[in-house]
Amino acid sequence: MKKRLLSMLLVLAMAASMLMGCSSGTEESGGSDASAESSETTEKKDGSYTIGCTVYYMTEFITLMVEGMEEKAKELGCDLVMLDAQNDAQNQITQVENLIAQKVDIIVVAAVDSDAIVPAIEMCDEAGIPLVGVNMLINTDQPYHYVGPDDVLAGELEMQHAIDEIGGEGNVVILEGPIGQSAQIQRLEGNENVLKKYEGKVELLAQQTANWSREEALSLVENWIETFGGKIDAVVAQNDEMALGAIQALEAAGVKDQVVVTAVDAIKDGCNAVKEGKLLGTVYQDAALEGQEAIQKAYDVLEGKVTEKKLDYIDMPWITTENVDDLLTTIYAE
Amino acid sequence: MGEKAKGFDKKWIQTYMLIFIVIGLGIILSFISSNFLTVTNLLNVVRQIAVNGILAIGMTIVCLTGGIDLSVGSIVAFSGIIAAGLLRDTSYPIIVIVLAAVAVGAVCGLYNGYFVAYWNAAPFVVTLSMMTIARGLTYVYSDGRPISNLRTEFLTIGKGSIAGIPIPTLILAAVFILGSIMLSKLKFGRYVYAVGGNENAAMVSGINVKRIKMMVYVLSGIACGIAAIILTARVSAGLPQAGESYELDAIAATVIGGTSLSGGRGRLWGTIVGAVLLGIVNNGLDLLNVSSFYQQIVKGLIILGAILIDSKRNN
Repeated sequence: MKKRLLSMLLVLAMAASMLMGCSSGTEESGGSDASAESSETTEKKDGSYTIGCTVYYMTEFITLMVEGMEEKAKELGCDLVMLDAQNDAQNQITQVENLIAQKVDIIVVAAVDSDAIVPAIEMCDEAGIPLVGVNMLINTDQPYHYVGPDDVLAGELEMQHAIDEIGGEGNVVILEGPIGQSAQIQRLEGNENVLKKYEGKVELLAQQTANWSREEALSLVENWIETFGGKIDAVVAQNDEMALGAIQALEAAGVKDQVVVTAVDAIKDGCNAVKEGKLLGTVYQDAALEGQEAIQKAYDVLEGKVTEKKLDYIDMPWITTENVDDLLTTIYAE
Repeated sequence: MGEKAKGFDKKWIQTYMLIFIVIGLGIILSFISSNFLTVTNLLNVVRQIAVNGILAIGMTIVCLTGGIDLSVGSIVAFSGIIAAGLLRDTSYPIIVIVLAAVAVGAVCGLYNGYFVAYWNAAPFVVTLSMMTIARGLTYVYSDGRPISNLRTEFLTIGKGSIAGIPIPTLILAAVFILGSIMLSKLKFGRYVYAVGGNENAAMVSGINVKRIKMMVYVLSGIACGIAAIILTARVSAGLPQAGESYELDAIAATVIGGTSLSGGRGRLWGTIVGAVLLGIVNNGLDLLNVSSFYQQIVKGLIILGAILIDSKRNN
């Protein structure tokens, strides 16, 4: 009996120390280094803002975006509360509730799901806390503050360049992101916008999701090579990972020279593939810039500099062998 | 009999200890975060635990027979998407849609229960198969896209409250009361414990073991249907990816609450307290701006702690 009591108390103590330990831990780990962080706290004036943020999942992209956010928040002297919804739409609603309970000044949301985040707008309205969307559009008719990629443009760019490269006619296949995600829907819209212009000349042989995954794309393209033989002229992948899987499949089949591959994202591996000439080009979505712009917008909203609710798109350059070194020597430098 | 009584005694002690842990955590949290002990936030917590709480109640009943249900997350998604689809395509009253979602859950549960009980298949495998089937059906039905723009009166289920208490919490309370009555007042409850405690003995004493085993999965499926309604109303959309890995949280709440995964031992009370504990930890760590990476570690340690206490008690 006594032992059990003791063990229970130990668990309690352990949980408590975890909580204490963690809370002080994150206060320090918010920024990139401790000294800069402490200078931030000394700089902090009474008028500084607390920005609450919930992101869908700590992917490589989001991690870069969050770094951009932290950098900007530090520059502006704001506190940043960063939560990760772990790809669970209900959890994200929960986190918005928790941020509201915490009385943050503004909430920045990278939505798990464009539809499921809609209630958050209403909750924020009721609480009188402004909301800024980042990276993922929100599926609502009401205007809202937003900073993010122009995925339709990205889809157009990759399809246009692929078709140009094959001389305006031939057969293409599309590797899609997870069906229903806003990036997939919009990049596909962009893909289709361009395809429409080439009706009768360019045929869409197949389109399938490979869920952003290199492995899935590899086996999917292997199957396509089996099915369509040498008919495929271009593989248009909605992200770099899938393009890299496609390249592997094409190389293994010995047909890489005859097939053009384009993509979106310009992650490091994607840029390397561009440099090696395996990937014709990829659309660059600057994650850090996106994070910075989102925080800047949040700050401007709080300062009253931005009042009109509208969608702001960040620039999305087309990366080829000509400009890929700019990325590889800066953000992707070893 | 004497040993059994002693076992119950111990379980109650553990349940009360859990409550102390929850209160202790609450006190600590209210010291380190001024936003924790506010009415709004506490209402947030009880609203936030509703889905997991309901799933955990179903899971507990399944675990009492020595089974496990890995399909709850997928069934939630499937029931939810059907409810959202009906809301979009029909003008049926809300109650019909709720019943439809519950029926979908029950049918999925029936699949689980039938194969576990009458084919003697391992619950782990049968429910794993349902897990992927229900997820697949969800994608087929929804074409992989969320179904949104649901009727506002339906959304009230997720965000409304009666007498200040959130509706999801009231539903959780109702499910808990019904479940408790079933387990402690009805013959069914005694049979569930008997089957989990010793299946052969239960069979010899004339209990229809197969029927009981099938029933518990149907109940878990029904719980999924109810949870799906709350979840869909809360996020205002039917989501094909909803409920991913919710089975793990439900199992966590069940185990923290002192239910033995080998069956025959456990209480719904404990499960609810387990769900509250997980909810408070989640909420508290959010309020303290603890990175989700640490949150997962904390959750894992709590589960380990609960299991260690449990196994110590068994020895």
